[in-house]
Amino acid sequence: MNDNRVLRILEISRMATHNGPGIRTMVHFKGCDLDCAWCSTPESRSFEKQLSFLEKKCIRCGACAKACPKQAIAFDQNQGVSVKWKKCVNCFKCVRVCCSTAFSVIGQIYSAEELYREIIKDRAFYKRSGGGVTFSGGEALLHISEEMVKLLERLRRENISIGFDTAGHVEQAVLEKVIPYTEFFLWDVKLIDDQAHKKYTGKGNEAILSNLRYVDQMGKDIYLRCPIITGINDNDQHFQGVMDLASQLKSLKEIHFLPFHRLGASRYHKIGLDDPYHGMKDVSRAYIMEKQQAFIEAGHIAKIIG
Amino acid sequence: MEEKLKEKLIDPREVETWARVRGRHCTDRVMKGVDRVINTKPAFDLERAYADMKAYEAYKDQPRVIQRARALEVFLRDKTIRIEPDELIVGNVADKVKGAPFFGEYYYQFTADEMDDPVKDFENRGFDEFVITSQQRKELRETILPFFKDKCLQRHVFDDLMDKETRDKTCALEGAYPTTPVIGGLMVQTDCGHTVVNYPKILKYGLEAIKEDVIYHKNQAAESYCFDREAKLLEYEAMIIALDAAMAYSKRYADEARRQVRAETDQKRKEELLEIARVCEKVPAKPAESFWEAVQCISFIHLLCWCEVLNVSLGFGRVDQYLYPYYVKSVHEDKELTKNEAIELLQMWFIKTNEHAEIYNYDNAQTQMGYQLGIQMTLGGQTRDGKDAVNEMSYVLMDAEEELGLQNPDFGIRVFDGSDRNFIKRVAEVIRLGRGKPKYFYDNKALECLQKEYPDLPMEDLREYITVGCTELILPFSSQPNTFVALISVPKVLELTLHNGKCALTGQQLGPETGDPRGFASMDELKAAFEAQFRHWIEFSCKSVKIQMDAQAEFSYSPLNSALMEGPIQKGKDLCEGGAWYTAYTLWFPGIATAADALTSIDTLVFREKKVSWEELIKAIDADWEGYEALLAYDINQVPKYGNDIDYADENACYLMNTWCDIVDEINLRKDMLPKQGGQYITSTIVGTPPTGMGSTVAALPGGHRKYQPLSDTSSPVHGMDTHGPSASVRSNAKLPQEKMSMGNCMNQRMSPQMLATDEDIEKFVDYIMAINDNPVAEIQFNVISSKVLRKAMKDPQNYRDLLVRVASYQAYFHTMNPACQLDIINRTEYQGW
Repeated sequence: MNDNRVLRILEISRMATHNGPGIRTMVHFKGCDLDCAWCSTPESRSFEKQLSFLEKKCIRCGACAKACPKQAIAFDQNQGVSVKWKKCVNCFKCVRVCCSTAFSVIGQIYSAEELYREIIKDRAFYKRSGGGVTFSGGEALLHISEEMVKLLERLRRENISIGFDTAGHVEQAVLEKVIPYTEFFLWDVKLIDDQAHKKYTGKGNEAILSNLRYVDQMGKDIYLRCPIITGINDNDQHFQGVMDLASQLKSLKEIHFLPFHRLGASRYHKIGLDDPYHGMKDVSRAYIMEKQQAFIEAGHIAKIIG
Repeated sequence: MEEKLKEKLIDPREVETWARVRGRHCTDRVMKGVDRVINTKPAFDLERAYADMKAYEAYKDQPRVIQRARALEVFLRDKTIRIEPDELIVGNVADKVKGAPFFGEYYYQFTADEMDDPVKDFENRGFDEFVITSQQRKELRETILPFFKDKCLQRHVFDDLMDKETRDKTCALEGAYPTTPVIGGLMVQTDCGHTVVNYPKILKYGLEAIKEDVIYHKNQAAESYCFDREAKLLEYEAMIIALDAAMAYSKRYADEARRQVRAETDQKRKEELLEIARVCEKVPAKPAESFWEAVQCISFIHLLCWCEVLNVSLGFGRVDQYLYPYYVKSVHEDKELTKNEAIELLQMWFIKTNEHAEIYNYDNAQTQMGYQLGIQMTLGGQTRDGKDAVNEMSYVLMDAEEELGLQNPDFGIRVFDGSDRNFIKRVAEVIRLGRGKPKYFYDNKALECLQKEYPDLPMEDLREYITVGCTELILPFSSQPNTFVALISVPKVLELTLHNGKCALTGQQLGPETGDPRGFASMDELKAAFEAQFRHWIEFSCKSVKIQMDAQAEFSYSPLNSALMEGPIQKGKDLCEGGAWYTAYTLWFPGIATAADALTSIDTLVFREKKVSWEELIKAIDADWEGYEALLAYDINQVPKYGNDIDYADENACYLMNTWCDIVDEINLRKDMLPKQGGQYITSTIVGTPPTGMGSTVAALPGGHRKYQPLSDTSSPVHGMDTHGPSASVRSNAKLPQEKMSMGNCMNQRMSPQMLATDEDIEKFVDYIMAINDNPVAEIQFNVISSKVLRKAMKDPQNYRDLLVRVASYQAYFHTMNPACQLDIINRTEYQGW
């Protein structure tokens, strides 16, 4: 029998209000091709299911250590559980025996039908607010399989608005596939300079900018999403670059500035990584507000989210 | 341009309590009134007791109904009245601000028991405290309490009328079962309330005309061939005494105002006092014509009702509908008042609704913590022919409330598809200020609920419905819903079922032996046992209620309130005898989510996944999960819970509601169960503060419930168990068969202020509210205060005296609640990011 579960989903969150117009359901895909230094969802990078361990849920029953075939879990009644991540092979036997879900699996595979049924639960709220679904991630555009296109078709047929939240580092062909069904794009603008972009995200931005222009040309609504990270792009030059870019786009609706935050720190810890935020200071909110004002005076709709 | 930009660039993280976002812009004298009500500690007021004593003596040979009318007359004639230098709207229930009148016949028992008790004394019991001076204590001990000892309703009911079994099973304080699932002794310390008198009629015709109407009916009765003529004549006589007393009361204020004119030097104040005197001479005796007269009339009537009855939730009904013509006249036509002046008058009226308090005993206060008076008005909704009823008055009332933000009045906003969206938005702006009000009611569901209670009435009549007390639905002026007669703890009944009728805390055989669950082979068998157990307790509750209400019919008379309602004059019968056109008795069922989750867990753990045997599960809950941490963790984290839009879990909540509704429907067919007043039993999940009251008598349950833990509130999910966002929990709520509960339903959601910070956020919130019309619930209400602020307020109560929060179904001052209740509010699931 055909197993049509191919959609790799990290998380589905309902009642999102800052991810496009109206009230939306966010569908986060698992799997990304960038490696941003400030990423707040590190578990979204890998396409595969992976293990998560949340210390504060642990009730110290020790079942996990017994179940692990690779001795990757150490258990001590006083010290509690500690995971030797390098030894872990993602067999998830610990998850099966963990009653409190301190150990859990990140990532679930849905069929298009299952995802559709989740999305339509809030249909009444979309209708009233002009909302719908926003596909995000990870990098949603790396998950445009045939199943996904069929889902987009179905949602479109039923007048459920679709948006994509993307960094845009994909082949143009992917965009050509989704554009007929898409109402808007939330488009990341992390750094303007190609070299700097490569340094901090692992990839240059040539393709990103060219895709952006393509989408703009196709007349799809664009919301620029600009993370402002301390010591990396919180400077006049970057904002000027964003301003220049904005002035070239004819389908631009809004510009959102997303100030640096550390809310993702625990997401690193639960997959056994150290978070990259040590020693990083907050961005100056006043500075961002000043810049926001400049964009408003230039005739743009500019917001600070978060 | 600068200003506009500045406004746009408010940092949304700065939104905390209303005090920071929008300070009070009221006039100085309104602020003085606010200061008085917020900063005065409630205290005993003995004037009512002395008036009762005087009347008893002077009229000891008179029938009871006349005594009651005379007691009111003496009270109104002799009580202390005040006009503060900053007041325009006048009137007082008690002798001082935050005074609580002492009704000897109802308060005798618990006062005798609790005054001077080291734990329960009113001055230091830890919540809802009252000041009693040593002089007052002396007077109570030596004079007042001895006088009322043999005139006390409570003793009469429990000693003379109620059989031991009913007493044991429904009155924890009186009986042998302190952990009974029923809080059923509520009607012995209170009388008829939760009503809304006919304000539109009183405004239009005045009390003199109503008195004429009573005299007419009295004369008719005297000539008639009916066999209860004597009783009717007495009731009419009592009504006349009461109406005269009410009119004399307002004249006392006219006199006082004139007296103050003579002593006043400030010209402006002199003019105001003269106007006050003129208005008080006119209303409520004569029809009101101007806005000021109308507001004063409504206020007087409201205060007078409180002077007579000893129950809460006397509300105002659809103020925006009936006050509007007076607003139009004074502000638009005669132009004698500006909009701001009208708002000031409204605010002064609102302040008045906070100026008195009511005394509850130690246990009952915990079910209604926070000096709850439940004074509510209803705005919006539909006209009789189904059109949008929002008008300019609705907006003006919101403007007045936005600036003021006191505990009373509460606001119920009726919503339907045709509601003025701007008004719904305006209301949302007030909600986000974080006071726990207003709240939204959905006509689409409420009308279905009402059809159950008023099956013979056409839709046009039902569209006139109002909201009273917490979130109850009734038709105005003609309903006596008795909405606080008994509570039956659903989780406790389930706990008894799981122990073959034995209380898991005390080991007492409380209920019938419905079977040892360890022998149940299916959920059906469990449910059959549960239904038998549930029926037993509901029946006893009704038995208890009947005894109390029957006693009320001969003991309590409220001729003034009766004369101002529809039904009593026409029937010649007092409200407390069932004089209203529609009488009902509301049974409340707290803890539905806790009990539903317990059923889901039993089904999953024992039957579907076979993770534990019955034996082990019972051992686990009997040990309060100690030694069963793994099972508890599994239950909490991996068994579905109500409130997440998961049909499997939600169905168990539906089952519970269906079960109690069906049982009560059957009981309504039995004449031996219904009180003398007639009518029917109705149900709801609206409750005050069950957490502390009822959680403390429940042991651990499947679903993760720990011993003594607060129960789930109203029909909201168990604290912390709804993890799929607000739309999921409201969809779960909408699955419940709420239309079977004529009183409506109640649901709380808590949101952090960040979610409503910008205009765009508010627009989406309004979309959310309007979307619920498609799959409606009866009611929904919001607490918009961050945990951070609440924790600060716990530590530093002095600086947060004005912090209002929503408690289950009403709002109360956070600092007046005990720590357990405060933590309960903090622990309610907070929706943070969208």
